[in-house]
Amino acid sequence: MKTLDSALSPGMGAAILVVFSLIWIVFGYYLGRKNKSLDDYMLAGRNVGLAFATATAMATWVTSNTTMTAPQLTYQLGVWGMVGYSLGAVGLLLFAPLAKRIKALLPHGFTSGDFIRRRYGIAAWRIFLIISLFYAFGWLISLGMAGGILVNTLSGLDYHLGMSIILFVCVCYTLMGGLRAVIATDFVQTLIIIIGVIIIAVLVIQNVGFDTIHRNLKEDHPQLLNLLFPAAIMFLFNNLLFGVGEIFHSNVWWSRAFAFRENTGAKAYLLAGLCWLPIPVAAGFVALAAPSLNILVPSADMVGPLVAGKVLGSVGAVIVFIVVFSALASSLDSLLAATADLITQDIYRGHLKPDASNEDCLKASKFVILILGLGAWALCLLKLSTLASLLYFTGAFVASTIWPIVFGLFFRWPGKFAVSAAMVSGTVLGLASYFMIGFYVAALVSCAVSLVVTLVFSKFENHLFDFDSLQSTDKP
Amino acid sequence: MTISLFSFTALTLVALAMVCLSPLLLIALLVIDFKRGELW
Repeated sequence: MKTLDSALSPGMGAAILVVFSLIWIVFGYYLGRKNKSLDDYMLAGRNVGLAFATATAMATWVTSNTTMTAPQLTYQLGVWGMVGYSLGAVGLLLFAPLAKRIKALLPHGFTSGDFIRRRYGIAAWRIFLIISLFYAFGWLISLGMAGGILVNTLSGLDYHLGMSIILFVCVCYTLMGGLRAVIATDFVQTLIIIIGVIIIAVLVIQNVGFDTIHRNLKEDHPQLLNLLFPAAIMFLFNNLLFGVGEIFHSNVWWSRAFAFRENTGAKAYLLAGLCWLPIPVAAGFVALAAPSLNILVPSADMVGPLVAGKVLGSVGAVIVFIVVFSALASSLDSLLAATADLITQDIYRGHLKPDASNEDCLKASKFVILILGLGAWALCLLKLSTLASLLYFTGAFVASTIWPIVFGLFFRWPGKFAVSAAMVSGTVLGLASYFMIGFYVAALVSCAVSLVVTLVFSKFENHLFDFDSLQSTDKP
Repeated sequence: MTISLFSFTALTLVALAMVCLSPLLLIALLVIDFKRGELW
């Protein structure tokens, strides 16, 4: 067995980074010229068509965690790892009816926080903001770190340099173009990602073959083919709920529901979910070829790039580099834009300056994007944890919001105190299970606790909400 | 219980076929939206 040296030279890695960085920045600048109002900048004019809507939902959900962590989890948990990861698509599919409902209930809404505040009041809104912002920062750091690791693994360029360039580029074009630039670049990035995944998977099949992979795994790593691998089965359900929690609560998806044209949101999320579903299987499958290729994997989160580099040589390394850079950018830009919206609308206008005009908010939003980029960069310098553990740490937080959002969108009975208690208790017990049992149960426990607390406490509150009150255009 | 070679192959190939259809779908939607003037 041997480890694989960087398949790209640092010079080639830097050249690819510079070329693609320039493309995204020029694209962002060009699209940003059409933005005239706060709606244009934050929500792309609230009139995004089906093609862009589908591509942006799909591209945002195809993150570095799909292209790097799906192979990592497949390498650790086997077949259930890749199937479990693909169930992340359930979140997109289930969000389809929610997107339709959100647009109907809040035609002038900006953020997920808008809904929670108007539906459940100030206390629940603040708890939700803490959860949402913690998750957003966790995801941002996870993406920034993935960028640095990618660049370092594939080209030998310094981790800190790669991470800094990727964050800088995404901040630049998101700052200049707003959500319109994010969505348009997402379309191009989606095509690049899909084509890259197809090329790598097909060449792994051609060079190694199903028979060899299956035989070697059966002899040396039989647990990876075991359909009754308990930790992997727990992971499957946990990942499903984690994905649902991430999508249901995050302003990344709510801002798109507000931005998509009338009657487009449900179709877009449905198509995006169906298109996303097979990607973790195709991307994760290549990790199972690692033992057959005699690759010694120094860290499980590097297995995908290592296999591609080994099978495809320098061309493969270039493809992986471009694919993961696109995947990173497509998620980072969305997260920057949506988190900036949340901070601008719910913290700046909601707490600090209630009388802020739309022009004030436009300026504040740009400033927040800049600060978010700098904050993420500073935390990524520390390189705190492995990608998967950092990501799954936030599972306990987001899964607690699933029932308050779903019940709150469709039913009148959930109470303010009940959902506040549900989010707090779900998060606390989810975190406890994360540390006492493992990452693969955090979301499960959090979701179950939140469900019970929402149902039981709402019975005692005995209050029926008036949905018509959501239609007003009042500011926070 | 181990997944058979047949099931393992079928799972991967079906997923790959679905991935191959995605870009075609997106480009078709883009053309339709463009012709209707409904990109943005």
